[in-house]
Amino acid sequence: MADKKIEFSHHISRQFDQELEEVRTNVLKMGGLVEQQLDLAMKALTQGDSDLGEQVARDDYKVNSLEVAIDEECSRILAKRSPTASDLRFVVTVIKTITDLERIGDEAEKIGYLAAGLAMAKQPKNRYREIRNLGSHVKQMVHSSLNAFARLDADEAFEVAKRDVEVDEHYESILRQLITFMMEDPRTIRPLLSVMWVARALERIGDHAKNICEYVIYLAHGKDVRHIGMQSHASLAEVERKLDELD
Amino acid sequence: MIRRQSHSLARLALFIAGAVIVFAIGWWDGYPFVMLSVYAMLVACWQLWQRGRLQRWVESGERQSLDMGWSDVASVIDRRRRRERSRTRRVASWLRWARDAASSFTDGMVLLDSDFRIEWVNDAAVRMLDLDVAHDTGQRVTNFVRHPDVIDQLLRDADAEQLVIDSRAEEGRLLGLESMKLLGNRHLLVIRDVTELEHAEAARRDFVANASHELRSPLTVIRGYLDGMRDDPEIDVTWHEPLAEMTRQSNRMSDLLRDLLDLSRLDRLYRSAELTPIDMSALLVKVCEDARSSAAGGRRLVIDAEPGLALLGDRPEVVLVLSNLLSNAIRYTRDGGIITARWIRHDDGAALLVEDDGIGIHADDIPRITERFYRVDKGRSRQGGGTGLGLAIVRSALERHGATLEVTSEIDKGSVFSCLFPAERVVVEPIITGDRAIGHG
Repeated sequence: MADKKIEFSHHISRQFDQELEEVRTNVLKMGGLVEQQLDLAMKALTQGDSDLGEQVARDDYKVNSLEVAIDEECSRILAKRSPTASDLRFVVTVIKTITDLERIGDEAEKIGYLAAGLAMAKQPKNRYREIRNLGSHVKQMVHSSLNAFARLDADEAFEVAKRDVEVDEHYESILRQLITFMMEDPRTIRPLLSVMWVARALERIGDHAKNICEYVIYLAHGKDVRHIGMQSHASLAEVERKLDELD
Repeated sequence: MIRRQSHSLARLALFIAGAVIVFAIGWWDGYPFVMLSVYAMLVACWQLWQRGRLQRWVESGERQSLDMGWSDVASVIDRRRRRERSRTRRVASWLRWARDAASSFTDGMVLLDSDFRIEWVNDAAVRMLDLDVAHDTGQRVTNFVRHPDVIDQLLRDADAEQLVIDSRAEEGRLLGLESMKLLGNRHLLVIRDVTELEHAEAARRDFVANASHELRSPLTVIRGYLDGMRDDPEIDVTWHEPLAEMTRQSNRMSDLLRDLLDLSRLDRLYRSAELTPIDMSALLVKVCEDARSSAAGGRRLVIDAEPGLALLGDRPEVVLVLSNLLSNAIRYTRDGGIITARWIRHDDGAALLVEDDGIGIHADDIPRITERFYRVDKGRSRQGGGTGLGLAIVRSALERHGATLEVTSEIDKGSVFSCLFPAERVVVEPIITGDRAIGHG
């Protein structure tokens, strides 16, 4: 099951196959754009490049317009082709995935905007090392979740989704660290609040990446694994066994 | 060959001899034709049986005992088949060898079909792009290399220069991607790790920028004192000429530093230029006005701009392009010459042309004139006061606009510098006024 390939070549209408393939390509294109936005936003923050930060905030419209376009395409497919079974699951998954991608784009926009503001402030001595680490962790999660979507690899998706716990822990520790700094020197509260918002945005991006992974598992195995505390299980098979028992 | 022919002759003779003997016996018996038909039937059965054995031989590859005529045929087939098999084995081993060689390259390689689906990847590409051979073969490469610039370039199908993107597989590494078109509309994607190269390049750029910046302040001080000394009536007459020369040289130096700073600024902006509509006819008038007042001398500057044709770009950079091209044209045109600046439609896009009737450029030099500090004629250029960076600046600024520079020239007739802008950088607007918002694209 794990190495199931999605090939849209089982329909009598070749055009339908192509439409579905096109949608998938567009979702991944949107994903690539979101990844780039996130990348640039983090770069703007760590390099104190306010122009770059503003650029990221300005470019969010590209993500939004792709979301609208894919959404329309999906509605069109639903109306015209009335897909069933795995095709229907695919279209539903896409509609959900792009919502989360768009939110990630919004968070990246927020980071860009905050980075532009923080560029004026003095860079802290460790050059946001903690935030940078959190950032690369989250970036990796987004990247892997999109790869899992491209490959329909439920096991990879499961591994990625499990990593969200680490992001949450990381976020907690950054929060505690920032509070310590604020208590030491109240003058830093203002810029540090912005830094806190960045951390918050990154944590949210981790959640969205996890959501995408859950959709991928749903798409590949037809199992809804949301809100069941996946983290406590070692493997996807175990989770599914438990789900079957519940049924 | 002769042996085989004699074989078949002998067989024919045997067959005829048999027929004659059977016929003779039949004659003696009184049933010659019946005997002959029985003989013919027996021979035919024997042949059919042999044919069947031959077929079994060919199909199963097991050698069967055959009579001599059929065994000749069989051995020909067998020999040919063995040769075929060894050739296949050889080709396969070549293929394996080629694949092994390609796999062990440190550069990543991805072979794509006409629809950009992955056909084959080598180990380095798998590592660098975080691919999975079993899952990803047959998928579009843009599903994994999702960088918007890469997708753009692949779709535009441009045989373009290397793109540099951040590696996703390994934080902090930079990858250079290059796509090449192969036969049958297929593509080869070559991926290199360019981290060190890019770092060295960045260090060089930073050095040039910092050095130019640091040199500027001492130079300003020197120029200030020189200005003061030239106006000082107490300075001895013998010092007037040296002071004038010093002023000239310090001006030249400050021009050089200005150009170096422009160039390094352009180099450092890695994103393409903005898409703000620029009213080109107004820009042409303005820049030509400046050039006229500062340097034109006895040369005539003519403007020919198509109204309503706007360029989407970065205004200061376009000014830089035009002013550098104009000052270049002025420098290499004699007094009384005519210089024309044109802004016209060209193919789908538009072109900015600067034409002169000056001394021209030798064909051998044209490919190199945009290199930094490249000088066509060492002696003359120094006197002309150019910095040797003008065309390098032009090229860098044009690259950021997706435009190309083309130069045609004839010695003693003049030169034409054409900046060709692509269609997506050009908008046709009735009239552009300052207070009206203009839609992009």
